[in-house]
Amino acid sequence: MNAEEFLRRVATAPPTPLQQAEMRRDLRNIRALHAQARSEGLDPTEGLDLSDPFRHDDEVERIARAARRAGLGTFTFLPKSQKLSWSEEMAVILGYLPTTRPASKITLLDRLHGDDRVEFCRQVNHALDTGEVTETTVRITRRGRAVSHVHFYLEVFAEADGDRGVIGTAQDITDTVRAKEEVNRLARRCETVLTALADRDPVTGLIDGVRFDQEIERALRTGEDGAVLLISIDNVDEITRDLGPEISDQFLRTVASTLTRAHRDNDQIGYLGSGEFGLLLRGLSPAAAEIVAEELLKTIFRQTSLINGHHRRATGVAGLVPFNESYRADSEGVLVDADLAVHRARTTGEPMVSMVGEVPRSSVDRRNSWRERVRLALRQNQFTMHAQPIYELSEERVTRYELLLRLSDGGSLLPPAKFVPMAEKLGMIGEIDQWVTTQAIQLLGHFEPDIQLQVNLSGRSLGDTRLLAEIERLIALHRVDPKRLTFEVTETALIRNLAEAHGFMKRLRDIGCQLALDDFGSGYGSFTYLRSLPFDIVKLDGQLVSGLMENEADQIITRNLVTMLDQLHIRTQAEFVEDSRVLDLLREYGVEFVQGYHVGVPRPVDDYVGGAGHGDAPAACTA
Amino acid sequence: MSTTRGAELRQQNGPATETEIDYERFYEENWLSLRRYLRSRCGDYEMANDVMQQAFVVALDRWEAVRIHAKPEGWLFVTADKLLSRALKKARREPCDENVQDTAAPPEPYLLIDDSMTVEWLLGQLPPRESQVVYLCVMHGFTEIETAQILNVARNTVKSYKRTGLQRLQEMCLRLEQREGAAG
Repeated sequence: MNAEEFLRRVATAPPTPLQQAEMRRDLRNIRALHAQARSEGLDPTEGLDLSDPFRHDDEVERIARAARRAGLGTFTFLPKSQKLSWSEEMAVILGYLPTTRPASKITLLDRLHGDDRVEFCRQVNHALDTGEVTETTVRITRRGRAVSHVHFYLEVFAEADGDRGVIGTAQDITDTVRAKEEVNRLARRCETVLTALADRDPVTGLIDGVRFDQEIERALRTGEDGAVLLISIDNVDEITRDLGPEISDQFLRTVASTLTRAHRDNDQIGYLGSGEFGLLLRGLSPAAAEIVAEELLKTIFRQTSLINGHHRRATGVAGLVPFNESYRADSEGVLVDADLAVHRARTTGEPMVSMVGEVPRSSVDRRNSWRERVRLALRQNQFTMHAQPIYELSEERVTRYELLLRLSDGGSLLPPAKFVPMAEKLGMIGEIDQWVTTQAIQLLGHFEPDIQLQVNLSGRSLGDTRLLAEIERLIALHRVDPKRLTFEVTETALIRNLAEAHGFMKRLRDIGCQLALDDFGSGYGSFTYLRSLPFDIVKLDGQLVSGLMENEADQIITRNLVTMLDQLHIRTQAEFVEDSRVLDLLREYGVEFVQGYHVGVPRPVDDYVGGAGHGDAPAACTA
Repeated sequence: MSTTRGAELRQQNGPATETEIDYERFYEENWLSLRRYLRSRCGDYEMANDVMQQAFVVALDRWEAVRIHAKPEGWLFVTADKLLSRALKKARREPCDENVQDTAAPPEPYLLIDDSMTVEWLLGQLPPRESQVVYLCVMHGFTEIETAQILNVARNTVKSYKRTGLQRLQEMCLRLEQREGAAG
């Protein structure tokens, strides 16, 4: 079918009987409308031009007149004579007072934003070459540096002598552009905020520890009966080590999904991190809570999941703490009791220990019990060290290890997240930090001389002069190079006294040790710390890095943080690097050190000491 | 047909003046074309009909002045364009009224029941300026210069839009044919 012929055929077809009837009906309406308008004294022609559109011969003049009526500016350009003229409206759009500046190519281009000039000229030339109409939006920089957005509609006209010129019709669309930009900005902002909901765990989608704590607090305030069930899944680390973090995340999601399906509607489930799930069982007597908890545990621990071809069943223990109106504790106390119940389950080998029937202990008793547990761990050497390799991108090899503390608890190894926060609250962290520091300095002697170790220090220990003296003594005793030791301080840890912390850190640097700020970007004090404390390295928060490939906002933040840190002469380290794509992106941004499962998993220190694996570039990093 | 209408008019209102008969001839010659033009421009049949009636009301009101134009239908299309722009602006200000949408979805191809509707749908798929040029030049029969004067653009622009518009229409016609062929 030829389109043009088809259009002509339809156009010349006579009206159908139906169309003729519609035409007659419309004519009656038109007469009635006209009569009504006249009787009401209305002028149907108001605002309309009654002149003959075909009487204007000069098309430049005609277009300029129409543009003027519409409040648009026009300019004409004759390439042969290089003559340019513009209307008064055009001068105003360009930011000139009418008649004050002669129209010329230079005065027009002078007002165009530097980045838009080439494109504008290209569009004018394209219109002249092809005779086609073109459109382009440019930025106009007015006096005072104010920028406006102007849309040009460029047409070619022919003069009487056959020469061609361009007539441009210009409309100031700044308001429209600004409105669109604002809509886009809000859309992007919503996207960013929605993808990282503040109180949700990104892996399981369940509420996180902070929110779970708030939920317990709320339940306690209402005085209702209920219980908190803390389930500790033991084989998460094992799965991560054997099958990788992705499978481990899938495994956690499966457990979360099983729990979500099995729990009662008004219960609350949270993921507290490190393989720990919390359930707030509402409106239950202690005995009923025990029955519900046992059923839930049966469901979780009996279910085998097939994840990417691997059969896995969750193993672990649980602790149950019922509460009622007479229970004298806050949410922290409930969680401490639940944690102790889990600990007791691990040591006794029972799947669940319930505090049902036990007289609620006072907060002092509770604290003493925890203190005793930490002291026992230190005395009986239940703390142990793991190491995770850190890859230096400029050297293309592992040059550092981070030492990671673990607590042996009834056959399971607990990560710091499970005991450090409580130890900090109970004032026990100093003893743990001392143990860690001692181990780190001793371990330096076992590693190759070009290997450096990074060790975590609690923010609470900054200012501890006894610890400082001990570090100095041990470095001298073991004759190790202090430059090989970097102390990491987590950003989220509350540094109580900035001046005290500054003195402590300055002394550490005087000794020759290095300092790193951990989890940068996750807390509130980051920039204050950067300005006030003498850090050598900043470790970007793992959540920022883990979502890097999917989240544009994370990319923008990370790239600019690295640039900023580089200008402050601070080296950047990234954690949670789980694949080569993230590593390549971080390399492109200028990050110096990377760490994560792609580089190497945490293993007992002995696995890395003596050259076993250390210093080698991981296979994935050799490219 | 105008003779018939003139007779009808005389029957209803007594003897019709030459001006009235002249207006009716003008109306009958342009009614279908203007309606099709407005429908293809806005896709909203009700709005197109309202605007068309308004344009003819204005023509009726000032027929003495308009009839002496070299080609009164040129003025009619200019006026209809202006009235349609007003209606669309008003519709944007009153989005809650479900009947006034400036981008009312034109019927899908499988609902096109006759050639007239197919043409309106095809033109509605073109960029607005191309659609106007193709309609005025090819369907209504205005010359390129007249079309340029109606739309207040350069003649070169009309040429350019006519060429690209017809190319696009040809591609769409081919796709429609393939679709009909596939449907048996």
